[in-house]
Amino acid sequence: MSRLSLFPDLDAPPGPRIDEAALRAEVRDFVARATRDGLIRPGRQTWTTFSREFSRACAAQGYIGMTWPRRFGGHERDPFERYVVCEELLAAGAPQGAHWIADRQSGPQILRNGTAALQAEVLPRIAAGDCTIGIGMSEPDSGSDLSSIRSRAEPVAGGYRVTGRKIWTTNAQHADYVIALVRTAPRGEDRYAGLSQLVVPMRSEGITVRPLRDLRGEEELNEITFDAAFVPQANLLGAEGDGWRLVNEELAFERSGPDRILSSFGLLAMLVHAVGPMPDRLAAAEIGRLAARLDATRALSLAINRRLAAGLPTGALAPMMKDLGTEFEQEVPEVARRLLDLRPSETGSEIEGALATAILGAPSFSLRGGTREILRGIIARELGLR
Amino acid sequence: MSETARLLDDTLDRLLSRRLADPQARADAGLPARLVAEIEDSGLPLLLRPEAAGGFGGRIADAAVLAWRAGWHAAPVPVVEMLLAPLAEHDGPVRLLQGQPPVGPQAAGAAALVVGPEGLAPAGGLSAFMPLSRREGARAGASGVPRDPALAGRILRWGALLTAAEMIGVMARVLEISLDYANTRSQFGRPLGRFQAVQHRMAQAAGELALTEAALALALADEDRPGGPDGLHWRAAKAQAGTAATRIATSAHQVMGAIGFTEDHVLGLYTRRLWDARDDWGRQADCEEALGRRACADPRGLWSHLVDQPLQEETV
Repeated sequence: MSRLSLFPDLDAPPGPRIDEAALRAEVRDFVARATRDGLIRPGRQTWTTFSREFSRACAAQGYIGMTWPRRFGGHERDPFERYVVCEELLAAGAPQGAHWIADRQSGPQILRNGTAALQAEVLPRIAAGDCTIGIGMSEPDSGSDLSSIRSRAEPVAGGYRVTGRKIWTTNAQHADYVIALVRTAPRGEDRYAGLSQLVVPMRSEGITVRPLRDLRGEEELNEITFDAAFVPQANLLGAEGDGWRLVNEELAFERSGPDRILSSFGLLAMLVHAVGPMPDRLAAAEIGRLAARLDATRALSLAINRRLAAGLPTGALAPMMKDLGTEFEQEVPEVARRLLDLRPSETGSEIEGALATAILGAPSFSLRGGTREILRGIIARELGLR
Repeated sequence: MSETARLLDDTLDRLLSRRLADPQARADAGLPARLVAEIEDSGLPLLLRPEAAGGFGGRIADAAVLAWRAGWHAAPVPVVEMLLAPLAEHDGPVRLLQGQPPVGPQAAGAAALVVGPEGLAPAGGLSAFMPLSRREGARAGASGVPRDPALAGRILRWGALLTAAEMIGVMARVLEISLDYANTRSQFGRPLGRFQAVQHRMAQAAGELALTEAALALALADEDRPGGPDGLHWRAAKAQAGTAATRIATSAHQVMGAIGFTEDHVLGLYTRRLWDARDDWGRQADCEEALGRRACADPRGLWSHLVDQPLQEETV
């Protein structure tokens, strides 16, 4: 069994040294202005909500590409500073869909594995809030079983031609690029071999995008069809055949952040406000139970991010955190609807609307970024089962 | 972990391994008293006493490692009370009974103190109390005038942190026992650990443990915060330890099947301790209710309550 212990912890990395209070105050100022300007609508948006205007405002504040090198438009700040900004914006329910994926995982992926030409082309645009990137992993016949994908890239002069279909890509209709996992060699004995990641420019011939309306009535998810779409050679990440390793590297960053804890936080904050300063015993106990859970989950997320920043192994901690964090996110509306004497309504008051948004969005929390069942399988393997 | 803590942990580990290696050792009714004496002789309970008073001047985070170790061995000793008692010594040795409702290890010999929100008070009207873990205990009413509320507050808080640490040690061992069983016990021609339903149960249990470890580490770090600790993290760590204890004990018993439900197997030693510890030094329900009341009463709103410096320092 190889289980990573956070207590007692023999190699705990040192805590961050930043002026956390000042940074939080600065972000809250920014949030207050954005709310006044109508860019943030509390409780009715999520971090996947697309708003180019809000992303540009974030970029102007220096809140995108915070840890990246300055030569790519980054700000060379401490990873914990980025963490603080992220959780403040998430807690405020800010619409970060135009830059979130690019800032969280695609940009760092290009920074680690992209060619110099690709880095120069894409990273400064992301940091400016002008570039949206989509994730091209799942396909109509390949959901959790990613190794079974059929999209393929054929080598041609100067690059590749990509043919196939990708699905569940958030904000693909607005995306400038999609990082697609494709077959560059036919499937053989090792089903994880022969896969590669390509950064596909979306404004090119042979690409069609079909939005899919979700339970909330939002058109954020999409299906993409590639019909011999051209991708320049410089847009290959790593080497041909690195795809599986790169996908997994990317997912470690996708599974340990505050976005896996705070998706329904806006509703919880409204619930506490609605209950008032003198809660009855039931309300106090239930809110306290959620507060304890949130504090503990946040502690785990912080510990993982500190380890990632220090280059220490994280074992199965990231899938554990995502499994438990999304359980918390899904529980919030269930507690709220028991404690408050109101009905969820998409056209109702602020809190009725927030309750409706949380209930209708909740099923996706434990699907996106790897289903709960896939995560538990990964954890079990780390524990030495299977 | 400090060098002192590492040395003391090593000493405690060797002592407990030696005394508890024989499966029959625990059947001896005299074992707990002998273990307590031996641990006291080794000087371990002096860890938290200031150096000026002849102690090691250790930090609460160091003491938590010892509590963890005792939990890992399911040592039948009141490790939390032993570590904390030197803090409350006044005219001589004391034994501590945790407040509301006051329950604790049998207060034989030394003066017994009840630790409650109003302060430390001499214990009155001791009555025998047998917890699930069958370690001799006592219940008491406070008598006399409470003194030193600040010290009582620190003892209550540290009691919760040390109990959470002990629980993490117990849970780490329970997880190990059940993983080992899942990998060796075969049914339908394959080890239990190959069944997806079992894998997912164990994965969830391991997640609960990681969550509790992270919560405790955060709460221990908060003890060093300039201006003193917040009332949030220690209660959250204790409440989370309670949630995890319930889920991990349930999972372990489910995976171990009927054998784990018998006294022929060691699992019960650990789960009995877990079920008790949920309500030792900060009942889970009290911690959760207090967290809820504090969050609702904070005029700054929930987010600020959770991530900013506290408005007022905690007295308890």
